Amino acid sequence: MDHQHLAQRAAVALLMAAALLHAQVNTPVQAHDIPNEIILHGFVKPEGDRLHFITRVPLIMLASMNLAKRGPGYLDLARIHDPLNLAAAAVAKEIALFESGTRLNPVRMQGRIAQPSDSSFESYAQARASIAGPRLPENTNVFWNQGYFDAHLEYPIRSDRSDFSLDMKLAPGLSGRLKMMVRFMPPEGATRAYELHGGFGLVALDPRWHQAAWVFVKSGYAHILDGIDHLLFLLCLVIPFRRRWWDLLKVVTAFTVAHSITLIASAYGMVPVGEWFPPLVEVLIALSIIYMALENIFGANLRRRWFITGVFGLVHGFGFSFALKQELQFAGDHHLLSLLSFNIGVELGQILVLVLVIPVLGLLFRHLVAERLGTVILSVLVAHTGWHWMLERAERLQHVGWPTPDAASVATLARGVLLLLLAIGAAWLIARQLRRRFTVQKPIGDRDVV
Amino acid sequence: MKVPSKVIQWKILRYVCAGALFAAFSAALLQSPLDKAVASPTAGNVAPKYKVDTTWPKRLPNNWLMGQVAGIAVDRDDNIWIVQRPRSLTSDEAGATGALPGTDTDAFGNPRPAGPLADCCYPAPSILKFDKKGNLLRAWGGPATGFQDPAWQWPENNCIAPACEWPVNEHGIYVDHNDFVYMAGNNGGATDFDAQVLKFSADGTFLLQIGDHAVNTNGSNDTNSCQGGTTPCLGRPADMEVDPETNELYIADGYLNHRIVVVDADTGAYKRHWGAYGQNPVDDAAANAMGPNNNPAPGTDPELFAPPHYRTPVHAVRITNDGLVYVADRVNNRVQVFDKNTVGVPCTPTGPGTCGFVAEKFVERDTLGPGSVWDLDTSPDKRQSLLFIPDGTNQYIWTLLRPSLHILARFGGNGRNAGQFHWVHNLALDSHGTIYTAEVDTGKRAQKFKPVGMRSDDDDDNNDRDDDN
Repeated sequence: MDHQHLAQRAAVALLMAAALLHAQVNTPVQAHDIPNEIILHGFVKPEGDRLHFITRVPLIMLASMNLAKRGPGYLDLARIHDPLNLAAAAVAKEIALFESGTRLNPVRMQGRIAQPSDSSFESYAQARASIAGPRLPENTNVFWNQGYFDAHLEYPIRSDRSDFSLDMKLAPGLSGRLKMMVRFMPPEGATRAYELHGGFGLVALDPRWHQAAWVFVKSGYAHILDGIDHLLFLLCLVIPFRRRWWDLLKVVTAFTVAHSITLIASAYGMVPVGEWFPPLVEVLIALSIIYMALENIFGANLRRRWFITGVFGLVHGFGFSFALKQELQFAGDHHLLSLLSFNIGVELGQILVLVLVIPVLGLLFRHLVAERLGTVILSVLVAHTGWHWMLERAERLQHVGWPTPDAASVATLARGVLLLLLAIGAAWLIARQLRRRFTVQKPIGDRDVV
Repeated sequence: MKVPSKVIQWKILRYVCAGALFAAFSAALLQSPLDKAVASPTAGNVAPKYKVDTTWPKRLPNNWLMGQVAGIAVDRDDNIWIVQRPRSLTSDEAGATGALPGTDTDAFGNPRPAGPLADCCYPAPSILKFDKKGNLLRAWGGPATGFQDPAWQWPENNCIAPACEWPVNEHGIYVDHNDFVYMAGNNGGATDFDAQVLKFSADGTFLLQIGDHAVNTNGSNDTNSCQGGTTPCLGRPADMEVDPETNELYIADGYLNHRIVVVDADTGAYKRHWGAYGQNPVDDAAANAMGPNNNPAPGTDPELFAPPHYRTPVHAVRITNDGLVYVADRVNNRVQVFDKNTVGVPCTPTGPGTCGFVAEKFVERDTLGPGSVWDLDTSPDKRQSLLFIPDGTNQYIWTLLRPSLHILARFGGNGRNAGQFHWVHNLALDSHGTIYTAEVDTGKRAQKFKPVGMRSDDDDDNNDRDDDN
């Protein structure tokens, strides 16, 4: 097989494997299938005037290269040296590295085959030494789709303190099924770990504060607009407050402060780790929507709504934290800033929704339906949706393993109660101070009950 | 009487503060013993507690149904592999199978004069791979062409005779450190008995056969009489495991032979073998006379019954990180432990305590019938401090402290509900300590048990520790 032909095959090999993976999504299992999940590994280490990229690619990704085989399907290790160099070039093409926005090109490439049991990628030093070390004996039985292709690529750089970024172009849209675990090792500071897939685009490996902040403002904004359950809760909140801006500000602030508390607490690991927790939070979010809708229907003391909103806000904050979990890897050194930026994004999204929804409600109540009747109709619709969500989520909750009431779970529960009580106490004190400072403009009478 | 609102507010504040203090105190008080228990799973010789996960595995695709599950293994990525017996399904369990063209029976010989009996089911392929959530990831293998029907949607069969002889009765599975899959067969009978171990790639490509079907030359002392003189002949092998340090395959051999035999995992070439107490030779009249389910003579004291030979089946073998080999001598109700580096060499002088033998442990020693020690696996901690043994006669999983072979606890019990067992045949643990079990006879299922903290005497209603005996 001539080199040009092999080069073409190498270039398309990775994409072919991805295409096969894509095709397999909804088909029954087959004998020669592509595994359910393909994980690549990589170390990125700037060192002096060189950037070292060491990567491990499962052999199944090279399936279309049709590497030489012997016996029932073992790789013919004596006859695959040249194709492996071409495979390294294909990797460099699909996983692009940048220095201050300029794409880098490798000047040196080295590749080898590793057995599935090879554990050298547990550290950069081991991985680098392994690739530079002796190749596997040629009589080693490596089955053609079991094992790894390891490559070491070297890129010339201007400085090892430049801004480096990585763009994994491989198989966008297959997040969760094809991903790459990247560890960036800057000359100073801690190693950063990333879990990337083709959909992330350009990822700054050591982000500046403004890069991290911008990423998380966008993320928070996208999440609130994408989270229909949070939006419905917000809708229920604001229906009765349409023209009472001071009370509206109070409930929205209570929601914001509460979800910020639990979001930040989650990011710092102060939440239960059991598999029961996320579905429980999802059920509680649905329950919060139902409660708020029922309160709108049957009437409630709106003066106290900020308090119950705060309690439900704590629950919604946990919900936000699940969305944020995978993205916190892009925070770099700016963990707290990124969390606050995510909150700002959420608030911007909320404000946008309020700005759109309140005038629409005004028009609705003025021209189509009386305010009280309209409030009831909207709330019934929302409660109905929330009810179905709650049933669906409760069914999922039934299938998770619950912790047994041992010392561990009692301690966790006690910590949770402690946090909750502290939050409630703090909120109560703040509210008390606020009430003292700002006198209420008008007495709240029966008409506050809708 | 109207109470001033300020008084109420201060009362609330007091309750909140008291609650917070109490919660903080509880958390601090409970933190310390909890951390200790997590750090050392065997602290105070307390066994982990397990809870069945009824969501695992999920429903199979293609209208497939599992038969007897005669082997289970966890690979290096914590995926779960089982070997099951499609031909163990009853006619009504495989009710969707229709008559083969020109016949009035289905591929397994079930009568189908008027077509399929019901909507469900087709037999599943023999080898099934699941993830820890219970999704089926791979399926391949099964009785050779001629036993299948295209309607079942089985993947292409890569085991083609005469090079690859699929066993009549599948038994035991193992996935090694390089993702190669091994399975055995234990069918009995004079002319059609299984005597082979097969090696496949993870995708089901046939790679190697050790032994020839229905050939048992030289019994338990054969070296390289099969596969044209390149591998030992086997005798209804049951189980196997690869030593990653040496790439040697240890075979529990088996229902006919009375030995552990070690071969090269790449070529199948004979390396060494041994029997009970590391003795060699291992076939003798007493051993041959006492096969499976043949109980000791009436009047024999079960507490003293310790034959110098393995009784068939030699049912499982496991290698630990500290260089020990554990052998399940099923019907003798015992596990024997050997030093990997010294066992299997010619044994001189003969007698217990020599030839690599380290220790033995009887479990529920008065058990009759098929015996109490069916399989073995260890906890995933670095020291592999616990040893788990499925007991398909008493229907428990026994938990032993591995260094002392001290029995800590048991769980399960006879029954057909989730978490109970009928003929629990094998088990395997993943890297998180989750236990997966396999059941044969009319059990026909695999179950998952998740660790949920440590046992206490309060929930030990069916405990049977050595301390209590």
